[in-house]
Amino acid sequence: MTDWRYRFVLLFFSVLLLFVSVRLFYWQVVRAQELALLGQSQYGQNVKLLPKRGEVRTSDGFPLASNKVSYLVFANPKEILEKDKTSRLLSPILKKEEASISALLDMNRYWVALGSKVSSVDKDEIEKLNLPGIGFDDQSIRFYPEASIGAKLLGFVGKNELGDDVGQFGLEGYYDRQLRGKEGVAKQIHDALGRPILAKLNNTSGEIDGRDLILHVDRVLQFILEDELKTGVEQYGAVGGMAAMMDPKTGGILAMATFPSFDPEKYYEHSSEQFKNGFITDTYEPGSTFKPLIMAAAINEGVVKPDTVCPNCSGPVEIGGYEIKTWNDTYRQNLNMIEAIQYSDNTGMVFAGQKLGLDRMLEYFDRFGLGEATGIDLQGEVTPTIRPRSNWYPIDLATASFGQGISVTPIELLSAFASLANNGIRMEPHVVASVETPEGEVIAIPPKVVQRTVSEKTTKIMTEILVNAVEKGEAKWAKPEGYRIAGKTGTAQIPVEGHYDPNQTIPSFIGFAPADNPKFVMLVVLDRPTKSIYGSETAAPIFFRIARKALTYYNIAPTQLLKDEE
Amino acid sequence: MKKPVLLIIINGIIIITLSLVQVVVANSISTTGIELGKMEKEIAVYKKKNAVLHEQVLISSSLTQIASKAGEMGFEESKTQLVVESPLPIAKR
Repeated sequence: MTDWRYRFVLLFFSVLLLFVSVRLFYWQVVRAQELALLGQSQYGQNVKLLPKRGEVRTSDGFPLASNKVSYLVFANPKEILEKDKTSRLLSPILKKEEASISALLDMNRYWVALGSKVSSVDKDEIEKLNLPGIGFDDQSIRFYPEASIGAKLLGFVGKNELGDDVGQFGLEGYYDRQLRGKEGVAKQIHDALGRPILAKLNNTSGEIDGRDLILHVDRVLQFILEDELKTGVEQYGAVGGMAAMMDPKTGGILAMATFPSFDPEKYYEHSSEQFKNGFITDTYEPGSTFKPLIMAAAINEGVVKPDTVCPNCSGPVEIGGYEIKTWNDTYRQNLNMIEAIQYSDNTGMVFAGQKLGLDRMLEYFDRFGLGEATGIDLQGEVTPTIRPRSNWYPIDLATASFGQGISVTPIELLSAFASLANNGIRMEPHVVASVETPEGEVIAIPPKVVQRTVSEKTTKIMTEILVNAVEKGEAKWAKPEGYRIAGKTGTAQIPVEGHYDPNQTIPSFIGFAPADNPKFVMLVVLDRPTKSIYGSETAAPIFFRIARKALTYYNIAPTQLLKDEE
Repeated sequence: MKKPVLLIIINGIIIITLSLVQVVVANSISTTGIELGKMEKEIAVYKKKNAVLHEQVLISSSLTQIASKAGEMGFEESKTQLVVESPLPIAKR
């Protein structure tokens, strides 16, 4: 009789055990994740960690773009009893209309944003008012210590559709992924009163600050270039202007500026047209600054020598029904190639171009990198195409010889010309010299050789021809004394509806210094100056003013005997 | 058998002692979260002050600011250069 009782009790407890096991399995396995999350939300808090955006620094380590502390001011309208008083007190500090703040405080919400990017000073002022229901969230905003210096080079940090920061244009755009870093999540464990618990360590995961960019750009040269370019644009009544300086040996961009510029901290006040860096986006017919490339090609091929005389340069040249004249309608019998550059003689250049021939000219365009992207590390580079061989006529060959009828961007021209200052080696232009990780590791970006354009011997010849052009050409009056500078003026006509505008030009000057061991190559381009249309009277003086200051900055003494010593 | 009994008693005492120690230690550090919170707030305040001062240093040492201050103080751009170097060899004169 006791057997069945024993078995019954055993069965009962077995079933009970089974029931408990099944229930435990349900709570600890099936519902485990859900309950864990519920628990975390009660005792822990996930905090989003925004990474610090990397800085953009010049070669001396000074940041052109950095970050500063700012605040988002928010309010809990349900806690604010005196809405009118709060609006009236906050209005002058937040620089917003009282009515618009009042409208936000009237909303039936627990959280409204009253103002963003509020400075620390303004935040302290608001805190002193001790207004109930007002709080602050930390924000980090981009900050430019040199104001708008280098703005077109830098770009700016705007917002995407989701409201997240994103770099746009220039370096901020091109290197956005490097600069941005990675968001992380931190877990903060706290007690019932919200105080952190030491026993539970905070876990952080994933946050990585952005990398810093170290540029080739020299802060002093950038300042000099911008200052002189701005002065020149105003002095000559130009619509705008642009200039850049490059180290021909490395391709490193030492300075670059375009006017008009914009304030990157207040980019939203400017139209999108103003964000473009014309030095890499604008195409133009380069005019006489293109002549050194054609002459270098012709000398390199051996079809002309410096003392080769042009047999038909004593008057305008007729080609395919068109008449090609010099810029000042002055012609010279027995003009040689040195003089063709010195006097910027179009007829002499047509002769050199015809001797070179179309096939070789197109081959040299390719060597000089024309018609393809230079590869500069800035967002927005434009590449004008060279028309195919079948679309070239004799008149096109002739006009291309003096830089008309062909379009280039300023960076293309500068990069091509720089090869003449680097023994015939064309380097890829680059703004960023190295990238520094948050841990301090520096990743250098080595200079990149693209290709040889002409022989070293040709570059020596061209250097002397260009020095002669500066010493004896139209711009000799502006040249700083004592220095050997190689360069060429340009006064390019602007094509308008099938013809060239007779009253407006794009004057420019391109050159390198010191001629015998170039420290920099520079191109200055003005857009439609009104005081004079000629490069020798506008772009050349700007170039030489910048060059003189740059040579002084580099402590390079004059090498030529000055007049007093003769 | 005395040995097993003694062992059990000693183990029991150790277990109880360690449990008490755990309770005491956990109890004492559980409220240090308040201190932690204060320290974290203080660190945040110093970090922000540092950031603000860093910003001021950058603005003050910017070339834009220096050029502007130099202009206000009456400094002018030098128009001439003075080059000091050894005399040229006769062959170059």
